[in-house]
Formats: sequence, C-alpha cells, structure tokens
Amino acid sequence: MFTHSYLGTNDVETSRKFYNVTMGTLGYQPVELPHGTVYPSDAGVALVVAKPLNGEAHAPSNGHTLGFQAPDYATVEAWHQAGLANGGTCDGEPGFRANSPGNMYGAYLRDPDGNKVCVFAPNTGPNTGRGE
Amino acid sequence: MNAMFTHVVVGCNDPEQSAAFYDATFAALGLPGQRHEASAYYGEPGGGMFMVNPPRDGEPATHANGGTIGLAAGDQGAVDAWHAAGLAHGGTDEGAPGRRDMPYAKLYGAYLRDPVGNKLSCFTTNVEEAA
Repeated sequence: MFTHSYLGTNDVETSRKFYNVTMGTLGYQPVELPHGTVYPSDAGVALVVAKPLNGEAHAPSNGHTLGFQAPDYATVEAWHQAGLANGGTCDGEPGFRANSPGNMYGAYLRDPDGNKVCVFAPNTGPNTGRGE
Repeated sequence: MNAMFTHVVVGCNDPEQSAAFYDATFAALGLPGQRHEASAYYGEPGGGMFMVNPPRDGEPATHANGGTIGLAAGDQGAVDAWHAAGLAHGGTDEGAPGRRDMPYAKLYGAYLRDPVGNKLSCFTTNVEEAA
C-alpha cells in the first residue's frame, strides 16, 4: 500500500540520532541526505525524516500516527527504550493493545519533533519476558 | 514479516467528509472502505492499513508541515483516477499527475491534500513509455 512516509523535522541531527537508534532496533540502516535521513527497507518502502521541502518550519499533525512492524515483544521494548534514551517521549508504554487487530503488542513514542510513532508485534501469547 | 509499516493514521474533523474522500481515492486503488467504530480504514492488518478517525485526544485534527504519506498505485491510470477522485471529494490539488523521474527510478505520480490538509502522494513505477 505504501511507498514511503515522510516525517518533518526542524533539527536534522537530533532527529537522526533518535531514528538511527530506534530504526536500528528494527533492523533498518540510515542513508544520509543533505536535509535529512532515509531509512529504506528491502521491500522498497522507506521512511524519510527531513526538513519540510517548502522551507517552512516543521509542524506535527494532530491525529497522525505512523506504525512500524516489529518481529517480537522484545523488539518493541528495545525500540521504546532506545527512543526514550535518545530524545523521544513516552506516548504509551509497551503492552498489549486490545483495540489493535489480534490484540498486538505495541508501544508509542513522540519523536523529538513531536511526531507520533508506534511499533507493533504480532500476539504470540503471554509476554514472559524471555524475548519471544 | 517484511512490511515496514503496520499502519498510518490521519486525523479528521468531519468523519463523513474525510471518509468520503478516502473511500473515493482508495477505490481508485482497488481498496474498498471499511468501518470500525469511529474509524474508516483501508487495507488489511499485515499488509499495511490506512485509518482515518478523529484524534484520540479530543482536540481538532491538524495537518503536519513536512509530513507526506506515499501510496502505491499499479499503473498510471490508477494514479490519474486517484487524483481525480480526490478532487471530486473534497481534496485539493498539490501536484497534477505526471512523470516525476528520480535518478534511481522512472516514476509517475500525483499529490493531493485531504479535507484536513494532510498531504498525500500516489506513485507508480509502472510508467508508460511513448511509442
């Protein structure tokens, strides 16, 4: 369905630090651009975090959320912790989300620019803390 | 598991107006509109989903500056149909359908803003070369 998602930033270095570590927990590597950073996937889909192309300040949307896929619960937790340690703020602790399809395990963050992002892993049973 | 995105949510202030816009534009891409509680959604879990609903915090929906959501189309006709459907259902033009080649790919795409102002693009790599 998606070719890419572009999130705005006002501070390329700060957002790059946040996304390099959080996207790193999901297995994506950064490609640096003059005005931001791209995180491509093997499937040809990409996250772009960069300054707005119109030269105006970035402003986050109210109502917008971008969700990433994680393979398991431990990755959701690693992503959340990495974000909190690199300029992100908590917008939802890791846990099962009853309103998600299949009661998935997810967590939410705001990035340093206020963009709302989340990660979800498929429900594979109770979270025993053993990394499944 | 090889999808990068699980889902994208955009806010709306008038659910019927925004759902009409997205029903029409996603129909052009072959994705029927579905409903769940206050949400209209498109696609299926696991394959990427697009949802539109009022913001959870109860505040008005606002569009980003700097944010764009890129949608994939199968061919140029789908891009054209997507753009026309959006203009006919409360969207505004942000870039007419046309070739937008990049160094790494031949591309055909168009841009719209939804009724809230959220910026969307629709691109295909299945470009038609002139005979």
